[in-house]
Amino acid sequence: MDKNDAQSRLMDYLYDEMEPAERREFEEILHDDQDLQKELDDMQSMRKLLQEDNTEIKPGNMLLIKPDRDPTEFDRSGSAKRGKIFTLATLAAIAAAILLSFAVFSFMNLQISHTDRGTLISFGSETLPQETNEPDQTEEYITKAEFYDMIDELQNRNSQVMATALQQTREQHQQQMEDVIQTLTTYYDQRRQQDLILVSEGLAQLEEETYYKFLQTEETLEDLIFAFNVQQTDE
Amino acid sequence: MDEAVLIKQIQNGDNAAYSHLVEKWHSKIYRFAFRFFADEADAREITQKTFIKTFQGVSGLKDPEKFSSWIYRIANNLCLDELKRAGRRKSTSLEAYIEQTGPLEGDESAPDAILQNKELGTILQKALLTLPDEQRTVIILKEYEGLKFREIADILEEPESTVKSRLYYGLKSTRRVLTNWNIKHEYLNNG
Repeated sequence: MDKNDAQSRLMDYLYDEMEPAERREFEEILHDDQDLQKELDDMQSMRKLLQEDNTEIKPGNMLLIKPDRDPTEFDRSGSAKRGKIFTLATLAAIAAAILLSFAVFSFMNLQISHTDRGTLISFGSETLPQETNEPDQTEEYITKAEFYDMIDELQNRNSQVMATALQQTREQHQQQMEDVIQTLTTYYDQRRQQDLILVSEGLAQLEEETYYKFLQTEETLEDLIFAFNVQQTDE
Repeated sequence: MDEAVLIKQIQNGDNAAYSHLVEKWHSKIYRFAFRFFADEADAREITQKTFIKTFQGVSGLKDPEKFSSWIYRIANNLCLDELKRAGRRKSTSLEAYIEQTGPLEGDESAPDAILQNKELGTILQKALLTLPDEQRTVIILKEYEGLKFREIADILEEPESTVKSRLYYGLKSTRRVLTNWNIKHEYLNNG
């Protein structure tokens, strides 16, 4: 058994991936080869140590976005082909639509002309309106004063909207500040109450301890006086 | 549900089946990546990328029975790509690491330390990081994921003998690192 073969069989034995007969045979080799047995022991101890590691590895939530494409669309062999077919079909449809439009327009005698006043599209014989330099009597004009009035009105409305928005923002801020102050006040009040309770408890405990100390001192003094008196009587 | 059936459903355009697949494999892939890098952010990134690649390639998977090997291969390749991308800063060779650090870095009490359970995970993770990537991968797949040698060989597209050899040297090296760090543990100090 060469070195590589020994390593390979050692691993099979270590991870219990040997046939029973092969295993028995290997165990006999191990019995006769102390170095191999030592190596196996080392490996087993290392394995045990690795198995001791019970670190909990928890993945966080993974954001799954529902795909808007079918996974089969990603098939590399088919994707290019499908894309090509789609492009050709689209182009053919667009071309057909354009040709059809031209045919219909020519049948309906479509007229398109461009003037200073804009683009005119008409069907049938061309009946362009007569262009004159005189203003159209039917059109309505606004005077300069009306224009300024309109601007003023717009400005007024804008300032009203702005004032309302500012007022609302101010009120919101005010409300938020009041809430914060209220929360802080409640918090400090609770802290104060807790501190007072602690101080009172501390004082009571101190008082109790002082009382017991006083009693102990008194007892000790009485014992001393008694002892002193006994000594004097004996003398 | 049988995995092969799930894969076939996905191949037929059933996106809900893909969600089931992700649920089933999410923690395994994350755990693998975490063991590889010992870093949560890297593990999350590799997990995301693995599932994106899986989604893109699952329709072309010819043998749904081999999905397990395929997804582990994707994750492992992404881990190796990430190491290359990061200029191998995330992994140090065993010899270099031991030369640089000597006893366990940052733990002054290490020479006399008896391993506590809570420290064990961290120390083993550090020790694994010192191994060559291919040895680390084999240890993770064998020891923590519990795969057979044949399955690991399939994932890595290497002969079984290579996998066993990597595992053999990986275990030896890990033991050597821990001994160099003067780690005392009932299992390590019995020989």
